[in-house]
Amino acid sequence: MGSERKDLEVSRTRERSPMRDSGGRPRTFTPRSDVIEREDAVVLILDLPGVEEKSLNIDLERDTLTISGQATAFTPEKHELMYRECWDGMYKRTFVLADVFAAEKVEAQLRDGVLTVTLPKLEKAKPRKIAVRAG
Amino acid sequence: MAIKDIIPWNWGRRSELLGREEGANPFSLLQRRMNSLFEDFMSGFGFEPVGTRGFTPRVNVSEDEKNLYVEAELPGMSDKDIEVTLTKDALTLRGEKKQEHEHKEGSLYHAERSYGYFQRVIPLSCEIDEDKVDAVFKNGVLNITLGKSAAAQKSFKKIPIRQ
Repeated sequence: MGSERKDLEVSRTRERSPMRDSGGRPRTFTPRSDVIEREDAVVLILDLPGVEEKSLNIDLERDTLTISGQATAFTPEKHELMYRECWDGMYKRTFVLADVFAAEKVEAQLRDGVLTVTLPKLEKAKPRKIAVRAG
Repeated sequence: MAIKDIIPWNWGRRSELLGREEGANPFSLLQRRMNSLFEDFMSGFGFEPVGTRGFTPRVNVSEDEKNLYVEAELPGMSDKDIEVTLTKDALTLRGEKKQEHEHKEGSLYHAERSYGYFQRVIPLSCEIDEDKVDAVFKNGVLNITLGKSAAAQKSFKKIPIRQ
């Protein structure tokens, strides 16, 4: 969708997988994400329902931003399960960033199961208005 | 395949009913994939036709002797955007998820998250005591505990399996 962009790569979405947890292998999910571009920053919004702040990890290593968090406490073991669409498991997604962002000024906020990550652009990357002269 | 699979108001649905559906009808998987393809395609346009854009939140339903439990994934909602209604036969979750404030300030470059109206009706498998219903919204998950009526509690019996 849209043209190829080089300053932000969004990892491919894998549909939330209902893979069988046989052998106790942990499930991983790709959180749905929106990417919004403002003049001064790029904002990532990720759906992370059931993830608490204490299990959330945001790592920026060189040009790769990795966000992960554990979703827990869906339907305790002691309940009789009647119908399930939500699973416990690990949400994880990576974003590859070009060096147009001020890495030390990245901000993140987790609220109501939604993580908002703000990546401020470096001055050199902000759009510059060019004055148009009548010729 | 059922008519409901090709009517637009069901296109937000992404649940997999524990894998059983795929076995029942080999075309239902294809239909579902086509539906998601269309939905992903349509969601890039940015306009919001009233009434047709919506989504279906995922739910878990479980129980024990005393209660029925319903969990619904509703990230980004606030408790005032969600309406929970109880009737004798069903629990209805209804509301609207609006696009965030940021969307107005910037341009949406990549969109995967759902927004719009949602409604989910969960049939109740037993009688509920109306005074014992509690709904808590935390970390984007709505947790509803419905206390079973005294009669319903008595009839919840685990059947022992004999060797």
